[in-house]
Amino acid sequence: MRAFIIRRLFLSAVAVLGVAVITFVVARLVPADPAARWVGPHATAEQIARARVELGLDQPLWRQLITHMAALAVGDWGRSIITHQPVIRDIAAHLPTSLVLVAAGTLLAVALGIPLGVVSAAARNRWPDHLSRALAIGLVSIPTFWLAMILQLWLGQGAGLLPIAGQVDTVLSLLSPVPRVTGALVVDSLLAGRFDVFRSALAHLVMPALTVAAYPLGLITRMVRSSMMEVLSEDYVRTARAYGVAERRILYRHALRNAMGPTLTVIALSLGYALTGTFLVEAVFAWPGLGRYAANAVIGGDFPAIVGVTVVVALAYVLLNLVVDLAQAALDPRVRYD
Amino acid sequence: MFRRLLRNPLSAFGLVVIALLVLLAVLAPVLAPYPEDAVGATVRPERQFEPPSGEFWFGTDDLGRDLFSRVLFGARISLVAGCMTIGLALLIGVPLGLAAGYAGGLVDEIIMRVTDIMLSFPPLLLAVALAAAFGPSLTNAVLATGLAWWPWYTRIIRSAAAGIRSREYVEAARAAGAGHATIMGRHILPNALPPVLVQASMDFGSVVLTTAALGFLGLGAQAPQPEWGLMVAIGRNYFLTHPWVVVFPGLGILITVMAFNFLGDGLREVLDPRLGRARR
Repeated sequence: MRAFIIRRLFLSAVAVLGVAVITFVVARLVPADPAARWVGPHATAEQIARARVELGLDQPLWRQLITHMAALAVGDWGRSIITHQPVIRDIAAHLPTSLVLVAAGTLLAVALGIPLGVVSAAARNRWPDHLSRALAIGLVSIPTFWLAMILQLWLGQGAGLLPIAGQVDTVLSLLSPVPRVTGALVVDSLLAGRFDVFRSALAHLVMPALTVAAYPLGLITRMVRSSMMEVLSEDYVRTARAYGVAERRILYRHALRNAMGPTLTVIALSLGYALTGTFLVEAVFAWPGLGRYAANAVIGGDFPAIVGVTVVVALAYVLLNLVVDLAQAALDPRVRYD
Repeated sequence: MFRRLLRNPLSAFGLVVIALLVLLAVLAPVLAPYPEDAVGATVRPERQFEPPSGEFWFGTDDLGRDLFSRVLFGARISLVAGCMTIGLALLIGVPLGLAAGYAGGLVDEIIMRVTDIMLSFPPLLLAVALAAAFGPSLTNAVLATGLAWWPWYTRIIRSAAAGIRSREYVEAARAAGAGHATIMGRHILPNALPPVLVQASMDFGSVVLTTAALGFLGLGAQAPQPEWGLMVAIGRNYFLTHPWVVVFPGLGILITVMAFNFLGDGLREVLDPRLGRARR
């Protein structure tokens, strides 16, 4: 077990280094002239030359790379060209709002995806299976940004059930704002005992969360189905059946528990995907999180912000994968010897 | 194998839809009632936002252009961009995987660690970051997505190549004096390629989706190109009052991606021996 942990930690460290190198490539090597971009379109040649020295672009590449890594490590991620704030502060301000969305979406996906996958596997090649497979494939095929708009049209404008965009009712947020504690409005409003804001925030959360849930839901359903089918062909399941154990109990007690390993990996993966998916969803819903920040940065060519968001999301992804792998190794001894 | 694919209702459906899409894309210049609208050569301000009708099947957009013609031409962009992206990813991934699997040792270790690093990014994130660095254009979006996609193929082909390397016919070729390049190209590649090609066809849907997402973010195709993601992005400003401007381009993406994913699902079902065992 210890050898496994050490190897896994080492791999994660390599991945983190890789993230630093790749973001360096994105920020420094690929754009035609970072110095010219930094000083803006109306700069003189002199200003560009000065900026080149200031940004360290006259240094040899390896030294630039080391400077880049050191700056990332100490949290000096530069200033956003759009907001003029330190990127790391911008990210800290926007991240909690996105995490609420990602958490709500993933929760929905897990709560619906696991039973759907189990039903699909239990009814293999009969109509509930075909139906849930078609649904799962449909869900991973929908462009999320388009789904967001269709939901706005259907549930928001058509049925009038839910607010079309925003994080909370504008009147509420302007007239009686809730003090910021965690940065996540659903949590902060509860902490302040403001149930009117909480209800409004929850209603605003439904459509974005459904949109974010779509892709992970499809992934999880497919993964639960295929790993359940594998487990259901095992001898111990046949033995349990022969002993007359109820099918329900076999499915949920015995098979599902053993099918959870690969499912956990997919859940971690889809958390990472959902975090990237917010780039496409938040702009549509005017959801003031990291995704909208990233989308704006992309449109405005705000490289410090793009690099910052890339680093944060990639690090979260590396960390999630590490946690899941370690959890799996702790729960299932077979994993350690792979 | 092909017959088994056709017997699976989902993959058979996918195949039929893909065939139709290819046909529509190829024949777009003939089928489109207003082909000049697709290239952006015309604007009809007086016909702005007309709802779907006999004259304009999918209605008109903000510039009064025929949406049906534009969506039809969009199929060409998505299919061609998808092929080029997958092609680029294969072009990078296959030689690297072949080298890693055949050479083993240090070469293998280095290539695979780089691959691991690339895989520690969600693919869309990497594609967005690279596309932002390259600058917005359809070509750059294809480039960025291809560069984000190759590590999967490297992984697959490496394990296939490593398995084949010690087979007797490879030993025999080596004994007969064949060089490394000949052994890799003649003997290992043809046998290691099928699983990669299967994976590539399963990935096609995701690649189309990624290209559309980049288009939507403003990092892919630029106006007046009739790219579906871009059309949805432009329509975003008007869709609450004129829903057709986003509904039809979005349906284009959905149907294309779904058809390829249906096919991919069928392929997986037919090829995965572990799933086959469970057949009762």
